[in-house]
Amino acid sequence: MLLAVTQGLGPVFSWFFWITFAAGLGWLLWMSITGREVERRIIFLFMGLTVSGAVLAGIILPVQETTVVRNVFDTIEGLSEGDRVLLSLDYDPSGAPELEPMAKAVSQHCFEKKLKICYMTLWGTGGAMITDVIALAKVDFPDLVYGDDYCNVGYRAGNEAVLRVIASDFRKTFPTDVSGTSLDSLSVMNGILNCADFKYIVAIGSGRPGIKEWVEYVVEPSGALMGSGAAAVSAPQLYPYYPQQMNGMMGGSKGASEYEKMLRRVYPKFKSSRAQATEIMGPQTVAHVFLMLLIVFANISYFLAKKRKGASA
Amino acid sequence: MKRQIPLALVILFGWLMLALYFIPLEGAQKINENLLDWTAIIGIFALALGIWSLISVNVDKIQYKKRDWPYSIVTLFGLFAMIVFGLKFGGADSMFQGQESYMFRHFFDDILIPIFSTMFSLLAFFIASAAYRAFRARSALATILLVGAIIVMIRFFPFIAEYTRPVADWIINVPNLAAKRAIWMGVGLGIVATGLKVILGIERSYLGRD
Repeated sequence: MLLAVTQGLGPVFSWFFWITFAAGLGWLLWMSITGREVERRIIFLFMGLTVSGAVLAGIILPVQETTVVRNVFDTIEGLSEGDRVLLSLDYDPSGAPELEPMAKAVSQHCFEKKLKICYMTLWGTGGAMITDVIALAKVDFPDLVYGDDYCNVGYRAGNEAVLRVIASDFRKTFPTDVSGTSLDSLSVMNGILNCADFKYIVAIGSGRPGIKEWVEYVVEPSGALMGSGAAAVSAPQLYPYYPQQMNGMMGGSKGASEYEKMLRRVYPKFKSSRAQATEIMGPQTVAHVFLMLLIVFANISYFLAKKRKGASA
Repeated sequence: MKRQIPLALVILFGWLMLALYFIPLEGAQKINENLLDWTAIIGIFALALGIWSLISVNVDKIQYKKRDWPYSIVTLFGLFAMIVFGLKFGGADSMFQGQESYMFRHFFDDILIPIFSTMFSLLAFFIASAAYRAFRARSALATILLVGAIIVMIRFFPFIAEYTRPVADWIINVPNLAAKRAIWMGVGLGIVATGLKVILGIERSYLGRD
């Protein structure tokens, strides 16, 4: 079953990886049962080998769709041609491996539906992230026209204050796009006066200012419809806002991989496009399994040590 | 005067912003929006202040050859290189194309992104080590935390997720949500209390000591 979901360096390497992984875990279990502590450097080595081995084996695991992600997908799927979507990419390179795949997938979905996207960011480093996402989306849509199909208004300093203002007057904070072109001359922004004029807002972020601030300063006062994409570490903190203030959320690589799966199911043309999050999920899940087993082994060792101590006392 | 004027400004604008938020008149909302514009302007001044502070601290380190001073040279080089290559002027042939410029992209893609990614990736190693050493079922509460964490993590594993997902979803949507909501409510009340203390002039630590 495991071989069926592996790619990369081929089945021989995959078998080698799984056998080595199982042997390594067996050794760790033996060490735990015999009450011997495993050195920190050994744990580091195991984690490094587990992740790199899983990456080289190209493990792709099946992804199960969830309602919270499907809501974002269905909302975009329900929009009509020409509707405007605001995509805010509030993250830096450290969050990119998790968040860029969802930004790319949402962009691909919007462009496939012939929706118009306005990109923005609340993070100083977000400008380059927008450039990357547009470049990735353009691989499948080389004929996109700047100003007609999408625009990039870039970054403005001010964090929450930016959101407070754009909630009621978008052009007050963003009178021009990132190149200094007036928004009035971009057809993609025709009729957009404030955030509520966008049919859907997707805030993808990994910290502050991010999704929480979007909810507090834009969704609540303006009543705009919003979905989000959050880093796995911050996703549990954002569940209180679902489904009232945000109708859906993609949490970490798992959420992104679900979105990629839905996109490929509905639009098979994207099957040839690289599914970054789905590729990440395999090694990440193997690392999680390793971590869980480490915790279990450590507790076995702890209880056995306690028992031995009790017996000798 | 050094303390009285800032204090008076904080009290005045604090009450004004509070009042404007609750006044539904168009004129009041216009004033509110104009004042909010100032926040963005002040934010830009803070950026300038931050850059000045970074330069001053690092120049001082280099000048007096303080501990790890060579790193300050790298910091300053990075700062100025990104500012210069991030500038945008000249025609299409100019090397200054803002964020699209060749050098800016290379500095960003080949230096900044790998550094950030490396720093973030290191977490996996430290979490693994910490989990092995510290995550022990020493008490009933620690055991509940341990079992809960494992069930929530297992929900990502596709072959058994089907069976564990209902429990994992319950943990996320009921106890986790309740705790998070309680924390947010507490934080909200704390912010209100601190805000009131500031605009009433009780909390003055932001003015400094002298």
